[in-house]
Amino acid sequence: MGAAQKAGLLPISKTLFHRVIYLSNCLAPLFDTTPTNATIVKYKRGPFYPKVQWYLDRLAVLGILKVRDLEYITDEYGTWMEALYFTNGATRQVIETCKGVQYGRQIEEYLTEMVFAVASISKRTWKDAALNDSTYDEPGKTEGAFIDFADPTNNLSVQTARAFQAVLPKGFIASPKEEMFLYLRFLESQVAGGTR
Amino acid sequence: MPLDSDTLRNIALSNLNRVPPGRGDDIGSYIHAILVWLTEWAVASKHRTNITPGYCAFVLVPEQAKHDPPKGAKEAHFFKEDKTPILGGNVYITDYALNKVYRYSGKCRDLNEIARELTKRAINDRPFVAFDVEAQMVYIYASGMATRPTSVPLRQEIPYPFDVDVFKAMLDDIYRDNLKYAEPYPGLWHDSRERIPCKETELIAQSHVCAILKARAQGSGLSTGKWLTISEKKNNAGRIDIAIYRSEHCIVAAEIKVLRFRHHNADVKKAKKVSPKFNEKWAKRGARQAQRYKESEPSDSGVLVLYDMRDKNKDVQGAIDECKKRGITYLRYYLHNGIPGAN
Repeated sequence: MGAAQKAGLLPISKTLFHRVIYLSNCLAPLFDTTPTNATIVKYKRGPFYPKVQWYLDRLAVLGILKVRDLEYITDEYGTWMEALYFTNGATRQVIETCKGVQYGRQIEEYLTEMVFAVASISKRTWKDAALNDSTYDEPGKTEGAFIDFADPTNNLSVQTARAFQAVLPKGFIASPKEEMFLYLRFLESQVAGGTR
Repeated sequence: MPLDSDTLRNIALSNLNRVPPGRGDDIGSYIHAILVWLTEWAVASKHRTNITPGYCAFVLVPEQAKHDPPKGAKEAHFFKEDKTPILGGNVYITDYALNKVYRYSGKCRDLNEIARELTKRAINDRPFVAFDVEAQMVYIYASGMATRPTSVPLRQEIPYPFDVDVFKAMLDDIYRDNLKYAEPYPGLWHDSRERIPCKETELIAQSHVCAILKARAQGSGLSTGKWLTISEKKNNAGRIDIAIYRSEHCIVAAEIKVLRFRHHNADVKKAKKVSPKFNEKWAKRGARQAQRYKESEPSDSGVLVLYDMRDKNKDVQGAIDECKKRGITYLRYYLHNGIPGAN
């Protein structure tokens, strides 16, 4: 949330928040970081973590996050709650406390890079980028499929990000950050190309 | 699904120059983002006739991003993507990544009017980048208005084909506009009066030069994004400080060395002097490195770039001879330790 504010992603919609979390889980191995959750069920509304939503709402009720434009919508997929989340003074205090420990700093470092990679692509493609993710959108994976990318051979997103290495000038070693930024540009082009 | 390598190559070559040099929420990355945006804007503007003249400013106020527009400002939706022609005269409040942008419409015609506008809005202490729309000159105020700006020209056409002479001309520009005198940004001096360089001087000089070269490459008519500036490129002979590619062919492999009067030390009294012999040895080592890079890459040309922070503006004959012997281009830029006219 701290990085999202600096990158202009706030207030962030519930949908986008879950999708950014999904991408951060998927691409964590690029930074030798352990994803908080390496499995997900392919859901009709795109990547969604019920547990994260529970925490998100709890933080909002505790006043650590702010929430606005709460609405219940009913569409072809059923009923759904949508809202916009943003930070306040309490959020900043929590973030600062988390950064007081090594693990918190590492996670913050990674999430900052991740959020800025998302922020670097066109705003018009933010929402759909995760839907075009190589792992999530793998042919044959239909709604309700259990996606497990804990095993590197199943993590097509990281494989695609690393594939950029092969097309760069010989000898140039792309950093994990460069791979991640290029991968997000790849997702942006997929969205713009109308693959979904 | 097999990956289409042409697609990946296209994406990589078109976007690698855009990747910010540091953490996304670093001031250097913000300046890089603005420079890239402005070069792309400049390219898009070539075919437009409805450009509003004047000066504009991009002010970094990331905490504003989560709020509604400040009084008197309007949100500029899709600012990053749309490259508006109505740029001159306005002041923009932005986050680090140009996603949340608020516009104060104004009629700023010069830097003084920008300064007045920022003072009126009480944001004159924020890092900002001013831009002269007609002359296409960028002024970077990395620490707000209290410091002298660093200027970067955007408009000069980059000759084609790109060769070592073009590279030299670009370094000349960067030197003249940003490095010649002691500037707060990129801040190569720890104590300019005592001629003490900052920590990791070579790295800072390298990242500054690279940031400008990358920004100019991005979206420049010459490259259509295919001209790559790579720093710290690894090859069999080591790491090349700056490598310039076009269509995957290395045109220039450059080694940067800094000649010092004193070593860095936070305590001025403890900063030891650097002997002329050491500086010459250091420069000659740079020439050998440049030759190795040139041969192992292979590159069309190898360049030794010396940023000279010594007390006397004098060529290093040993390095000139070494470069001549090895077929390396010798470039030396003398960094004055004061404001214009002080040296």
